[in-house]
Amino acid sequence: MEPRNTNLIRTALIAIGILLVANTGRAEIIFDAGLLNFAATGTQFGRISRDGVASDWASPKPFPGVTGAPAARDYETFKVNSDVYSYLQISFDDPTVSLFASAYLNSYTPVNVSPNFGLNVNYLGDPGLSQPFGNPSFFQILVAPFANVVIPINEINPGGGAGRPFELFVEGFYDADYNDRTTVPEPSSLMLLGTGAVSLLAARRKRHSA
Amino acid sequence: MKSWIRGLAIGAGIASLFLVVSDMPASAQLDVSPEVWQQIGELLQEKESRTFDQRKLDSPLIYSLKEWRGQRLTDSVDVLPSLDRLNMNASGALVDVRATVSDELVGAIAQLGGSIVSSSATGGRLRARVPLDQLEALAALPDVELVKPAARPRIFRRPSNRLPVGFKPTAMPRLAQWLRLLSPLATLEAVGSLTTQGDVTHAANTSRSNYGVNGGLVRVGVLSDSAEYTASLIATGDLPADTTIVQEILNGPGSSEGSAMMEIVHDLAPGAQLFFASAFNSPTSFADNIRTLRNVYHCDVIVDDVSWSDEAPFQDGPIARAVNDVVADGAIYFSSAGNGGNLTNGNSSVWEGDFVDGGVSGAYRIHSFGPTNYNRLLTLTGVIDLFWSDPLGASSNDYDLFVLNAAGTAVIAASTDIQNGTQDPLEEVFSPSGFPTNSRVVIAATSTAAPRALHLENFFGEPLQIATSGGTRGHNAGPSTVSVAAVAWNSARLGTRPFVGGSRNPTEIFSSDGPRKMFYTADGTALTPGNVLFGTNGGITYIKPDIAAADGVTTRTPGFNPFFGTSAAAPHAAGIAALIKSKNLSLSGDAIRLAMTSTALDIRAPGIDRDSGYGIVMTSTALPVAGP
Repeated sequence: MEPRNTNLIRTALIAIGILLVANTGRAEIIFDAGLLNFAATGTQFGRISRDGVASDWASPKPFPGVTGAPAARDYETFKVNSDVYSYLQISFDDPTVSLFASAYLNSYTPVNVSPNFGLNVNYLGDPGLSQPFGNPSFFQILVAPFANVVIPINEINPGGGAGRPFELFVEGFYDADYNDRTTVPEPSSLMLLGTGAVSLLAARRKRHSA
Repeated sequence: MKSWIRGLAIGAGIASLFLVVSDMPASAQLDVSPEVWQQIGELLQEKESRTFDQRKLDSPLIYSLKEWRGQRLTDSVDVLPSLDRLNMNASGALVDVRATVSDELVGAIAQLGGSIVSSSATGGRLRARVPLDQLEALAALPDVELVKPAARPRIFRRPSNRLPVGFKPTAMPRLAQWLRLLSPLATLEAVGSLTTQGDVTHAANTSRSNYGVNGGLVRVGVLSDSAEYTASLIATGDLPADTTIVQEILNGPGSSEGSAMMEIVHDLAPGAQLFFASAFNSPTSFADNIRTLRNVYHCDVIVDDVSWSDEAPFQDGPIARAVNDVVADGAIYFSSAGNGGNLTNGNSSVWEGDFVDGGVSGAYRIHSFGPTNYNRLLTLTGVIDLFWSDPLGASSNDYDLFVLNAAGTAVIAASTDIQNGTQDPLEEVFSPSGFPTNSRVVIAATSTAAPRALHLENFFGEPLQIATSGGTRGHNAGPSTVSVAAVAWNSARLGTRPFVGGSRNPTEIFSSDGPRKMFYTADGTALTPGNVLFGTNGGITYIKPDIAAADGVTTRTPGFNPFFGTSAAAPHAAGIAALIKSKNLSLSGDAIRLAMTSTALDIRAPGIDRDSGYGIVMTSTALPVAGP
């Protein structure tokens, strides 16, 4: 096989491989804290104001402000790497409605300085409300692949979270349609694969006939 | 001399009332104070003193006129605030009129300074705004049969207090955007910048790929309050460009809940064409729009999330009859079951049962709820409705409804319409600021009224102390309607995965339950003649709700992320129906309904149950049985 033809095939195979990986998608629970009891690892001053607005993938949410400052509240954090995913959905189940989850990029650094007490630095999003109707609250954030996301869980009221149970998990998606690599390849992917194969055959036939 | 006689008569009446009170059963005395017996007795006297024309006016209109004129209602009842019930503006009160509708009548109303909001000659009803001082003149028109305050609508969204936010461009990775453009089968994917999680939990995403369907060639009609954000959602790709607004809300703005519902349908069935019409303009307009969506726009699937306060539980009313018509014509019709709570979760807003004589007060007999002769409001409550098992437009058993203060020492609201053979079996009380927590609710039957099955309901879903199942009613629970309960998309705490059923996916705590007992056909014929009581197994019991579907999902309509309530559940079911229809365009609505119910995922009590009906409808199991 001549070098030019080899290069063509190699390039085409790589392209098809990238397209397949990218378009079949995979929804994956990239972090699951399981059932835990709240255990403080730090102190913050005030908390994020619950404004009823959940951040989502279409509308990056501006920082909603701080309420209850400067009363000290305990928090603990979880660090999650987004892996290959940009679309993260964070679900937080807090049956006693004592705790609140939010998300930050790289680090979470509360300080006792008004007006935002450090809670606005690196802010990514929050669910805007706690436990509607006993269901897990959830929110969505957009990050670069392999981003480091910090998820603080903080007390809603000072001293109100000690030992309270909660569950936290983070799902990663390739797009806003929750595409799932574990499902059968989508028709669009099969079509791309077919198109690539036909192109390759056509290229080889042209090469042979030349 | 005449005033002497009148005074003597009133005095004798009150005296006899006190004599009756002293003779009352111990339980009745315990529950309702002598002061209240006197007030109720005087209100009954006021009711019986109404003229022929005044009897065409609902009692809130009578009370409003007295309030407006500064007249005392009775000797012991100064005023029962009712003016706020009338939705007043500078042009007058908003009223619903049952009448022989004609050009002459419309002209006569105009002569009184009134204006028509909507009318239906075939339905014999119109909605008008009329100056307060002309209400009695309106009632005196020979073609007018009944005038009542305009019924109230509700939608079944559970608010999350989200504030509207501006739209921003979707930050979608460039590769994914290119892949969408390259893919010739892109319409099989969910579309728009945000997608409901229900697309996955109902397995609609995988089913579209596996069966090659997307709702193409199917028309879906959506009815809600309004759809103002439709243009913005078309611009962001969250709604199709050919979305058609058939009729918007007339006195908006609304919440744009219709836009959010259409988003859900579009996510599940991206190939379907969407049509929207408001269900908020009046009950008559709602019924007309249902027929318009089918007869003019040829919608195969129709879905709504609206209920009107005067929709009867025991017989199909005008809206349910419109549903019957379009379903008979081949469409499938979905409606939200409601957010009134349920007996299973102990937060039902409804009490249903037969009238039980709990004691006599003058010309009234007071209903016993069992433990007491009153029910209690467990939270601030705005609207309370009482229905009983008489046919619509032909009630001859006169029941009345009273709200007392928490101590049971004063009447704070009353609805005392006269039912003497031509009225609806309905009484409604309303308070704009809400009746306080712990207020007592008393049902009274006049001495000649026969025992009937009763349906007492806090219209906006506030719980009652003594409650039963049977919350869903009206067209939302009509025999022709597929009534939809709500299940949170992540109730199993498994993330964005297909529903698993069983105890992992219960219905929402606020989702209204069934079943729905009905005693009459749409034309008022008794289903079991001579037997219109629960206790003697009269009527027919329908499985309601029929199915359950996802709520608590993400949409891009401002204020609807998350979108909770049976309002969010119903469009998921409609989207699935559109996919089934597109797989086999010859399928009738009844066949689609069978495919959905026979393959549903069982939840709540094993088998068919009052909370979820057949269970959660799943695209993956319904599509295979939908024919080739």
